[in-house]
Amino acid sequence: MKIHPGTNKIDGFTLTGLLILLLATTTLLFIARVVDIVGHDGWMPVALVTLSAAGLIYIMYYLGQLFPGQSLIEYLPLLLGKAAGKLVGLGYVLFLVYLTASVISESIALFLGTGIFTFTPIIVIILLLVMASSYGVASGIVVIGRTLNIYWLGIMAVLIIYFILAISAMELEALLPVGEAGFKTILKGSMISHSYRGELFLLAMLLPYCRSYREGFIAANIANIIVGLLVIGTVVISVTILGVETSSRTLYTPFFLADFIKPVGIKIALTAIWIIAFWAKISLLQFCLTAGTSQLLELKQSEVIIVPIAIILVVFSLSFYDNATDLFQSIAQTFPGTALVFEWLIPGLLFVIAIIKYKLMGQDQSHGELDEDNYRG
Amino acid sequence: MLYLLGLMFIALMAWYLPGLIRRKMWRETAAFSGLLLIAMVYSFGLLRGQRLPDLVDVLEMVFKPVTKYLEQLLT
Repeated sequence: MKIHPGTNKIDGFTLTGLLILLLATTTLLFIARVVDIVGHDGWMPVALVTLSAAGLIYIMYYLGQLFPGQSLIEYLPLLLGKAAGKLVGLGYVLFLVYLTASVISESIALFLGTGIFTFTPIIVIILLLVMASSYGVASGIVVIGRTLNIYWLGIMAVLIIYFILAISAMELEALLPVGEAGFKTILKGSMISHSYRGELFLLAMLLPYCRSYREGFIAANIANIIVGLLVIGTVVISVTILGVETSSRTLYTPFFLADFIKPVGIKIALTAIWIIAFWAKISLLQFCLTAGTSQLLELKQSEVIIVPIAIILVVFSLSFYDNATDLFQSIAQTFPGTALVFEWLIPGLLFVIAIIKYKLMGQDQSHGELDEDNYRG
Repeated sequence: MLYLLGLMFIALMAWYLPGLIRRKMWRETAAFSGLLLIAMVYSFGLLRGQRLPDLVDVLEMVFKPVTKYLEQLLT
């Protein structure tokens, strides 16, 4: 497994694609909860989250620059001390296990819920998906990135065509009056959006693999804006075509909407792109999980843990949730709290600690690692 | 099915462990064995239909109240 960033670099274009697929794959499907809370102003929490995600990207960029060439799991002990750093690192690895297994379960729920692979045994779908993602992990981030370079612009094109086709059916007056929900409700509605967009914390695992930190920072911001626009577009289309009531009860909104948009065949294009997008998201999460575990345990050879981790993910994705209802209920009740801690609070705290430790107290952060210029070479 | 699963784990151990032990990569050996043990326990549990305590149970116990508190705070 090509875990050590040395020669395995991706460029900003690739990172943008990776992050768009990481964030958009699930967040676009589950906008119902936001519309349920905020109503026709459902696009506002998404816009708000895009702003706060820009802050999270800066935090990850700042921390990454302080510890060039090291991922979150590696610099945690340097910031918090060895014992606390390793403990929080373990927390992140477990969070990634939860996240990856849940995304695999979500993909199965989507495939079955939208009538794709209805007669295929679940275990077969999961095994094929995890085998494909494990192959990506074993080949390294560059291979995952290059594979997606072939697809991600095509995926974006299909989504844009889908949005354009929807325009004729939209009734924009459904969005009025703007801001009726009030700030507190918009904040409440943004909880689930914050959880999904907070997955940008993975930038702290991916920046060491980017050609330069600056490029990674710009790529992440572009991805954040594009995802923001895609989600706002989906919410607006959903509310203006289906209305608030139906939108707030609709799972897999883009697929449901596709039935109302002509030509009806667009649904099959959506299906194809979502299968690729789920592979991308699972591969990326599994890569971060495997790399994180390897870094936490300070392994010299990471290949040996790819298969055991893949088996754990297969088993957990089958055992975590009894059915799709249990999955969505559990995610709605647990994910916002978990995400708040791991995606927002801890990075925020690390940022404050880093500023106090290295800027205000002027402590030397060299720790013997390479500076960015050397590291790039 | 249980036997097939058992065979798969034996095959995996036979594939990875001798090389790791020969090269004296003890840390990797421990990591591989530990992770495989977790995989074995949970996959046998799943096949036998036994509900073992898992990560979601822990997360629900710890973070469900956090989500609830946040929702109440913003209501």
